[in-house]
Amino acid sequence: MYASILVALDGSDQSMFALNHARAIAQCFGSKLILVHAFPHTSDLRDSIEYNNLVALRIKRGEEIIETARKQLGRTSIKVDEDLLEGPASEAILSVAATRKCDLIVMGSRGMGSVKGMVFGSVSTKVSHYAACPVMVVR
Amino acid sequence: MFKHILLPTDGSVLSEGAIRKGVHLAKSMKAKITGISVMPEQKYYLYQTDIIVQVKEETVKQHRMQVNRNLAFIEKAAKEAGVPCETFCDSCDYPYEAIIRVAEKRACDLIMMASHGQRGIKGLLLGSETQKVLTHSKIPVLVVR
Repeated sequence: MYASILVALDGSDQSMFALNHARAIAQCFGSKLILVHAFPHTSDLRDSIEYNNLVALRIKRGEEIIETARKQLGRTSIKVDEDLLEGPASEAILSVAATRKCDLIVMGSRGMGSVKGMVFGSVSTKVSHYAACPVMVVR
Repeated sequence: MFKHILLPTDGSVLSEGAIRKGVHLAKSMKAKITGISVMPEQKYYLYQTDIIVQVKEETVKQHRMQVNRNLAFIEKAAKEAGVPCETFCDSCDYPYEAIIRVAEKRACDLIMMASHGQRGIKGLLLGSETQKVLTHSKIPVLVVR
């Protein structure tokens, strides 16, 4: 039923809860997990001398988040793949879900961008609205 | 991991699809399911004149029939799959409130519902009740398409 499951990670506790739920489903259905992290555009600072450092920092942070997630999964027979992208989180999640033909997206209801979407995160709102596949929102 | 899945239904085609998927998930995870269908409370029948009482009784009867049909669908699907199932009817003018209340009271660990219900695509990209459940639920919600 769920061959590949996308897990959206932003380093928040909620996204780790989401990962636990995704693992449980993956174990049950023998699904593949796709860990996705997106970091914001830095291209507006392209002219700055700090630009390359900033991007490198973002990538490093993203890799750390994915690495933490892999550690949390521990030794498991589940196939795990990852995607680290630059761009708005909701668009990144939706595009990965579409190109990799995911059967389920699992994500936290509110991650790091907590100020704007006080009750319900703006990223999870957008994803649950526009995704073509089922979406599980975890709190 | 999920032990108790709540399946709300309004009898729409999409919610029947969500029920099938919910029953399948419950079977795979050895979980039990609780089906719920919510009837409007119709508090607006305040004035107890004869004719209104008559209309109210008639509508309540119709709603009850619809709810029974909805719940029978869940029971049938669960029985066919051999999944333990309870069904439950609640009266509330705001279905999302009843859904969340029942999910919490019955200690469900997942709410699984269709992206749209009876009111269809009018609710744009995500049905209004689904949207409200997503916003207010503390229990994980799986939106099925």
